[in-house]
Amino acid sequence: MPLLQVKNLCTYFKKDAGALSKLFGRGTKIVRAVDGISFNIEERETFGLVGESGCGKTTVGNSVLRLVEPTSGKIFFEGKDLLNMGDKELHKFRLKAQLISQNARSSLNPRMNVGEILSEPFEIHKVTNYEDEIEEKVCNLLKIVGLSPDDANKYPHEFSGGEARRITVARALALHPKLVVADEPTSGLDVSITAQVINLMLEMQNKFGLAYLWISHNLHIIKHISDKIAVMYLGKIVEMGSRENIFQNPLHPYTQALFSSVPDVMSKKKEKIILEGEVPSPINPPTGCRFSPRCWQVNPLCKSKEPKLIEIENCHWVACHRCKT
Amino acid sequence: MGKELLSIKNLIVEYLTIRGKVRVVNKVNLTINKGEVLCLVGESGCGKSTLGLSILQLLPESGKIINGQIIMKGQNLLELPEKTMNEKIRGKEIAMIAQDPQRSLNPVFKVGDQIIDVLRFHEGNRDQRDRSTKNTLQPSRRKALWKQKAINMLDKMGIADAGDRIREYPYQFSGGMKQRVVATMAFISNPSMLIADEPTTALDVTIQAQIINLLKDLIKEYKTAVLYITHDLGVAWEISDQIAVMYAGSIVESANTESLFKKREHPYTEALLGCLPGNMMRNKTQKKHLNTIPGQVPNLIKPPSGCRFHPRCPYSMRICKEQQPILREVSPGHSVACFKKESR
Repeated sequence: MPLLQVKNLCTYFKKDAGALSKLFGRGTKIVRAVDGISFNIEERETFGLVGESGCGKTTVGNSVLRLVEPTSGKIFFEGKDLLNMGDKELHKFRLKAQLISQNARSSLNPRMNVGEILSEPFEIHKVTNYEDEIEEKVCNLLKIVGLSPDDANKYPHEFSGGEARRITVARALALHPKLVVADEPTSGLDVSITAQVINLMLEMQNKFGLAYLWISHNLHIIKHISDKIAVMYLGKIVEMGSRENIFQNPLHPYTQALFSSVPDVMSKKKEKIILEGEVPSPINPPTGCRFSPRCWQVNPLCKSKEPKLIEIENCHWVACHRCKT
Repeated sequence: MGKELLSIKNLIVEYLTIRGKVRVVNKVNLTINKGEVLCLVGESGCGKSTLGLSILQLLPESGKIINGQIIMKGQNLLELPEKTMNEKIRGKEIAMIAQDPQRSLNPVFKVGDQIIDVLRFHEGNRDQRDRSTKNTLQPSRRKALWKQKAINMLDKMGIADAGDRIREYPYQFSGGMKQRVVATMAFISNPSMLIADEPTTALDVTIQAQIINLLKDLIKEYKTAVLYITHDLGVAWEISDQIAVMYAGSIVESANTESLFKKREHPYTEALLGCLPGNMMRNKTQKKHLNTIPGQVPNLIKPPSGCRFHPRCPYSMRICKEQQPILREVSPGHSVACFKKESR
């Protein structure tokens, strides 16, 4: 049984019309941020989710933790239906699934010192009632992520970007979760600091047997850390599979273009696939295949019929009319 | 002079802060050749943007150029009066594209008017001076000409329906499109040099590829020399002819692109390239331990003595703590500031 099973997940947001639009009879618009996606994450596995900004990858992360309420679909965590959980069960679920959010600094309360920030998980989940036990656990956590126990008395602003990131990693790992949703954990960091954070997170995975849902727009990082990868475009998964399949044999035209447009050190200066235009709005997505207006291999079928995600080979799914089993 | 377009000599820039003076650019020497793209790479806070701004003398008030020369076409830009800088250099000889297109455009003016402003300022001034030649056009006729020029240029930048879109406001453009508008403003007066400060950092990869391609074409067509500032080594590899690596205010290595990436003479360059995860070309890089650079970029209020990289350098020797190494040529066109290379 997979650790996390997502089936046909949809998360829509309402975009309220402004006063003037209402006056002229234009009603609420619906943003289809995530529009019917399915995937599984096994234990101890890193599932990389890539896509450009606005494709819905962060919403997927928030939905599987029920930080936003999905509109429809099913999510199972260790076989239990997440969307039908009551408050008590959900509280227990949060012991096992944690989030490392995109902006380390804004996710740390500036008025709490690091000791307080890191002891909060233990207090909320009533792991122990003894203060010195919590203190010891906090010390341990700080050591594990490469900070000193003395840092417990410092406040978030006293840390550099990379150190602040370490604190959020420590907080996510405090209760030994099984699943960590890491939303762009290295965005905004310098190259050398990015490498430190990636090393730390991979070390933690080995040590605690975590599964990561690792969300990133950086293909180099996704390639480095993932076991399985899903490529998202405008609320849909267009291609999914094992890391080898995706990187050695990308089949979807969007995946091919995405890989080709990444600037790479020491690569041959080859012809690139340059996509025309930009990502359309998820309020009014194109009919048929959502990528068809930008696709360089488009045919008439693409404009009328939406392709389904089908398994082309073992552990390789593609949603494109050109690809057949 | 030859092929040199702009050379920076011994430039020192300091910021005055509450906690003291910070030397952000420390004795930098740099030459940009005609029609060549020079990439300035380094981590955040290394002084690369400050270097770019000091060429145009657009530093914030707390920033002061303490020493040095910036020579372009035989004149020292630092000695020019503010008025000449504005009329002849900024936006005319040297244009700039900044990181965030959102902030380089004025939100309350139409895009077309902002582009025409550039022409009005530069060509308008010239027309005033040339009044004696009796070639002056009627103001309305002149404006129509500028408008046409703006439309043609936008069209060239890949903006569809340019004639209609010049009547729109910046918020009606997407990030990539805004950067195209900024590029229009930069190239419209045909500058001999462009300073591009992380022009694609705020953009998605597929849009980044579009903009880089566009810039490459423009650079080739207009034979513009470019100082391209970036932290992305992949972008640097793609766009540049020459690369200078900056660390804590000093240039530690400079060479042509191929040579720099192959030889990696300075320990910092070597370490920086070692940190990059998942090269698309290689396949067996998964989940290996990445190399890191121990420690952090030093606080420039109290920079380390001697070579500023020595506390993080694996090859550090005694002399590194005592003296600051100077950029020296180790092979033709390849310069490094490191004692380890000198002793060899």
